[in-house]
Amino acid sequence: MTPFQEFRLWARRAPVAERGAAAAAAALVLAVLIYVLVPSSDAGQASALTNFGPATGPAAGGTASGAPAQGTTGSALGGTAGGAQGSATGGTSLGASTGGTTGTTGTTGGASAGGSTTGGTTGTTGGGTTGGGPGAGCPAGKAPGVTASQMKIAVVLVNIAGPAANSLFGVATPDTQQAWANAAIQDVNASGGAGCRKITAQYFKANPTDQADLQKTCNDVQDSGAFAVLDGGAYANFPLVDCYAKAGIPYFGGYLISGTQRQKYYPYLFELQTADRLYRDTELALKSRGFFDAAKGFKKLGFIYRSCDPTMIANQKQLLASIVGSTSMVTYDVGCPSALANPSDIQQAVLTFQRSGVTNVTTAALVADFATFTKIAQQQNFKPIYGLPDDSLVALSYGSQAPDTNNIANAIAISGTRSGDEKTPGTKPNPGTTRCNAAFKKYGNLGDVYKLPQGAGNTCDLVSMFDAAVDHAPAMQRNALAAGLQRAGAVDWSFPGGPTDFSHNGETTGGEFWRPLQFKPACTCWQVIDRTFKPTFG
Amino acid sequence: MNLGTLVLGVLNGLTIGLLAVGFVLVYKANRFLNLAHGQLGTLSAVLLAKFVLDNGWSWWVAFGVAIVIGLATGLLVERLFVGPLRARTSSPVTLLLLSLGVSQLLLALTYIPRLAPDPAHGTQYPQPFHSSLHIGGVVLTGMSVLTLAVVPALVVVLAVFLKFSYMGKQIRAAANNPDAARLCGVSVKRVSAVTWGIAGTLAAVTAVLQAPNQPSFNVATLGPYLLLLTVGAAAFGAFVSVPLALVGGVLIGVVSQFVASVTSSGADAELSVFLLVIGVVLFRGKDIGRAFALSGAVVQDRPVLRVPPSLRTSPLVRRQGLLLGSAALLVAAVLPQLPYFDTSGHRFLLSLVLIYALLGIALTMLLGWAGQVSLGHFAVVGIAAYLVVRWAPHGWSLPALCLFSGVVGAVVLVLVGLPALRVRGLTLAVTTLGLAVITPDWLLRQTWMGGGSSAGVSLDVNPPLGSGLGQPRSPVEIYYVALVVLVIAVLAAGMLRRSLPGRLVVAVRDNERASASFGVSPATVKLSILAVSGFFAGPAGVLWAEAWKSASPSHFDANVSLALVALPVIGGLGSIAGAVSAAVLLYGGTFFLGPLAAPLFGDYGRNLGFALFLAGAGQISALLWLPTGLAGAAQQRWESYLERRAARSAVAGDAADADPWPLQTQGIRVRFDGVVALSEPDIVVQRGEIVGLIGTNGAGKTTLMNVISGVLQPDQGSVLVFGQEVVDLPPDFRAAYGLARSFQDATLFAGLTVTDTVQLALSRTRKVGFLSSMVGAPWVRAVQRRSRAEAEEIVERFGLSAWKDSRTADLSTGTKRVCDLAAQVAARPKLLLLDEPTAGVAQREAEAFGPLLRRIRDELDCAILIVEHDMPLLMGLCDRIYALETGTVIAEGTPEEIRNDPRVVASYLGTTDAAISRSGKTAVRRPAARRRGSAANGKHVSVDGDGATATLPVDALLHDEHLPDTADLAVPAAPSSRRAT
Repeated sequence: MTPFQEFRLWARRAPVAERGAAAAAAALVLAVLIYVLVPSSDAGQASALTNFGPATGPAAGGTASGAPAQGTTGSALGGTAGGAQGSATGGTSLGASTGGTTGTTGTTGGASAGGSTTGGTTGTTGGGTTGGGPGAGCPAGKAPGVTASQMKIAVVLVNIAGPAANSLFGVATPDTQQAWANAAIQDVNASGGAGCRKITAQYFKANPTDQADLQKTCNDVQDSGAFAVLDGGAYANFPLVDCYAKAGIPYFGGYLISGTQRQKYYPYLFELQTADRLYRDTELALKSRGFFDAAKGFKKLGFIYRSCDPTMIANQKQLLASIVGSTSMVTYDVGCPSALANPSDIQQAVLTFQRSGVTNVTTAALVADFATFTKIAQQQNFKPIYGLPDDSLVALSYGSQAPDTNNIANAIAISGTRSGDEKTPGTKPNPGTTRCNAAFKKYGNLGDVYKLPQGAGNTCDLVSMFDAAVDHAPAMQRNALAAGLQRAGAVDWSFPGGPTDFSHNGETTGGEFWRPLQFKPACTCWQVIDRTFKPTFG
Repeated sequence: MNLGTLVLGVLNGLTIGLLAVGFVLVYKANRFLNLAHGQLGTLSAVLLAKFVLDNGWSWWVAFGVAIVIGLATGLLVERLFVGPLRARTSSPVTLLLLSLGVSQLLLALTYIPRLAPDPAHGTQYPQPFHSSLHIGGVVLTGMSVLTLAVVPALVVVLAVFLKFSYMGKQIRAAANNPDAARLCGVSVKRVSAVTWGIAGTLAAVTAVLQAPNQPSFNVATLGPYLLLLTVGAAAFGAFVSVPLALVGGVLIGVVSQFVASVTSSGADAELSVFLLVIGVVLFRGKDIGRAFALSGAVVQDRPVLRVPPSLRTSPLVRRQGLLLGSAALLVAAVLPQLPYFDTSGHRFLLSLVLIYALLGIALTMLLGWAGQVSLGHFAVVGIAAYLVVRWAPHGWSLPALCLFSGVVGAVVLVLVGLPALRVRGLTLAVTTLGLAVITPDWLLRQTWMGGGSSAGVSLDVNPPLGSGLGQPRSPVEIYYVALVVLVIAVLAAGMLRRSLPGRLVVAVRDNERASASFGVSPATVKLSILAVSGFFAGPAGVLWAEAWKSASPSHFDANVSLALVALPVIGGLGSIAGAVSAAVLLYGGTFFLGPLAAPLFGDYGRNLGFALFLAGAGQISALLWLPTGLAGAAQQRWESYLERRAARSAVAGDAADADPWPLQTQGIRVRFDGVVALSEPDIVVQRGEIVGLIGTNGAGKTTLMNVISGVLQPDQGSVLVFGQEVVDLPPDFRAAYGLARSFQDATLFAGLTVTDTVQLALSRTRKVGFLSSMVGAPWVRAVQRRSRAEAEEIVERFGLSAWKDSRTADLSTGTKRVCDLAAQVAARPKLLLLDEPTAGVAQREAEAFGPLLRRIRDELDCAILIVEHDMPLLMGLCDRIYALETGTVIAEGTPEEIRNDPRVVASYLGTTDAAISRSGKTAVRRPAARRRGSAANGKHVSVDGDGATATLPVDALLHDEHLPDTADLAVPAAPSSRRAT
């Protein structure tokens, strides 16, 4: 009997389950073969498009009443609905709101009839986005993810391990982060979009504790064909932040990068702050405030740091030595452990500082290890005067990695952000904060950025930074955004973002100004002790 | 050294020492390195904080409960995991691997969010009491005081217990000689349980004592660094001395603290510990070797594949590796093109799976073949990745980088293994653990390694493949490069294992002394395989850097190195395919199923928690229930299948030996519109028989032939051809069983010539394909030549040469019959069904069919069932005859019996003399009596039957040298005697 006949015999007589399983497997293999062998028109593109509302979604509407419509069919997120020709009464259209929502929530949202209806009904008076064709504010050019009327961006949401874990670590849930981004983007869209194009966002969740997941997300974002990527902090402590820059995708991150990275990957890396500048400003600001004055009790400085970026640390040490003198400084390097520092190292650091007569302590990149340091310092009755950089110090102070509040009583922190405003009586929100709050209120009643985690305001800042960069870009090119940002000069960021000045060549990060905070035992919180922002020391 | 540093060192050293004491205790009792010792107490520490902070319990009450939990954890681990495995094997490697699995499982528990205290209730680990005691400038907290008081006391109590108590003596006795202890009435199981209970208690105390200095509650676990400290301390006591283990712990604590105070660098302190541990292994090597004195196999090998002898030549068995490998390769090649996997992100993850598979192979060589445990292979990957980043810009091609990194990997592992492999036992685990710890924390931070940036190092160039093959850039290209490297590694590893060096490695693993007596240097062999293993790990670093386009110290966490050991264990120690499968299962599961487990492991490090769970559970399961891993389990299933198949063949063979009947019909029923055509005409045709089927028109003869040949499907019943049920099979299947049939009308194939027709019949054995025929492939031409020659030979033998190129449509009925027979013969049937073969043939030629059919039967050794109305022919030809009437057998027997059967006579033959004469009584004896024509040319006879006239090759039939003399055929032989001949 031939093998084929044997097969046919088996096909006739084998148990049903066996044949069923084999049939399923064969069908699968066949499907695979067909999939592999039959070329598709453009699977990747189709896949990307299906994640968005635009294909079937409603219109975004416009902004100012009577403003000329963008393009011939309006600036529709969906591109097909009647709302495309509509505009908003009173500034921004509900159509934009709904359309924006659908655009950002993907296929499901895109199919939302509500969006279409609302956009259509409210968008009756014509108009569209501000501005007309390409020109000032409407850069021309072709770039991935950009059409004449819209612009696709990727937004990375921090997803440590699902909602529960996010809350455990003081991070909002991915859904909440998405709502923030959604609101900020709709706000920009409602005012004409970025570069006269409506922003549509594709959301990606990434776990900052899982490097493979972050790299995978970077690859997926590249596949998505997004024009740029906005990251609320998933890549905060991750070397792969340059993954996007290497691919030539502008990356707007909600954390710090080193000056070296910024230079190396210019013009693609945009961040809220540069670590080098923050530490330098901290040291010089502390000096200017008399932190190192013997008259104020200074005898010896203890400098404890993580040496993940030895070059940057060497510069800080050099600067500190020049300020206090090398003999008046004791350093401790906890290394660069992948997780938290070894407690015995921190113990030794405390002991070393104690025995060396350290009176003042400053840190660099210590982040969560600072909690251990203060904990052990408090156990050891070591209560120095702290002068600290706000490298997320303020945010951490209210979370599970909070430092010992008794140990850091009256500590000074130098911040390039507006952190502290939320706890300082009499503070009035700056315009950027007001706008962000308005957007949050309008697009989902999301709350007040002062009361929300810092990521909320940072999201507004990233979107506004991106918007400014695109609006002022000399061309609609990925590599033109840095120039655009520099042409924009300043962007009024929302809390916690500080004032900015991007006008210098090569500038792609915020933090051009600083001001001091102090940890007040009475409220166990950081409060602003001098509201005036001073320019960076350069 | 100042006093404060000394105090801190001693405090830390005491907790390390206490851990080491528990470690040693388990080693003494069970003779294996319990790498899970630290984790025995982690749950206790976490829950103590929860009880105090969340539930408001008193610290001391919570401490008591925590100790009980530690005790219970130890007992449970012993009862559930260690005990059952020890009952089966005493292999220290297997037990060490079990402990790794247990440690991962226990660690995974601490990642369950509900077990951790609510941060809202406090962030400080609860202290037993407040203390402001100062020594050397160090404030001793409540926990520090407790440490100073409790640890020495515990060790003293333990030492006294072991030395003087009855149970202590039992523990020592069972540790030194379990068999002798059993003979003395010592319950080794009970002793083991007590030991594990004590170890769990000690671990709980240690974890609680350490917890306040941990950065958070959840990190109150024994990480790789603390494990290194513990193992180092235990090594100081040569893994057997409780006091020296404590001393070792204190020594390590003090040295580490001293280095930290001098250098003000945590990384330098870690480096000093690593060097200290290497030093301890070097200088305590002899004692450690004594403690590790082993005999027999240290790992459980898979048994050799048992293949039933009858299947050894089966292509499926002989090429099983090739088939399996090809199938796996096909899947691997197609996978990244499939939906869901076709994104860059998933392709990247698939590349990582392949890299882990490569590491699995490297570890399999070391662990499965050499019985040596390395906990530092992932560090080699890191080192190689950093070097790739450094060397790639200089234009090195990928193959060159792979070779270079392989050499570096080999050198690194040899350097680290050198002190360890001098001595027997598992000290390599200790030194490689050190490598795993210091590589990310220190080595990769060095500027001369390319470190110096928080971002790690970036691979900004794409190394070429060489030979103009381009540069892999995209994730899918890198995936395929990784696949090629993996395939090469699999092949190379397979060849190595089958070679002399491979056998040497296994020999040294199993018996160092005996190997040495054959002139083999065990240390050299062990170092060699370590180097080879490192050589395989090196290219994994190249692929890593390629996949990530960067490398960072944080990629190469020591935990990953520990988790990797699961690969060869789950895969089946020693199996290359198993290691690859385990990598796919473990890391594929983590990457692609991990997100689904987020609700359970939704804590810091989602994938870490899940990976730990998968690795731990998989490792434990594999060791307990699949002692030979995936490969062993697969092999068992394969063997079972082969045995079943062999058994079936044997049954079939037995049946064949029992001479199954060529044909047997049972209970066949056929109805045509309510008319019964067949009603269970049970017939049998035995081997070599010619059986006739007679009956009136409508008796069911042709219907029965149709049912037997598959032309007609019966309503019920069975048709067995050579013992095989074929009733549900179509005609072409039955041909495969050796069944052939001629039809009453002998229409043949009108459009084919005689030779073509015979060639067609030959095509069953001489197959050619359409495509190959179209292109005129050489083998097709060869087959056709042979087929043509054979067909012409048959045509000639059947006297059909004159018509060989005539279309069958042009033949006379008689010649068609002969042609039909020739075709049937060409098909070489084992059971031939002939339906009225002489219909339309003149009487003289019809008589010639008798000898012809006998000749066919003899030459082909076949059986024949013939329906025929020519009674003289049948009576002279058949061995037996069945008589049918209205679909039922009314008589069966020899021709003589049939002829005399009154039912047959009444029903069919008739009772007149003429009828009886027609039944062949005289015809048999006068075969030529019916000749009506004459042999005009001596060869051909003019035939005139049923109105048709044809010329038959009678002489060719009758005078063929192969034909028996027709006179001899006059008396048919009995079936039994025919079979005998």
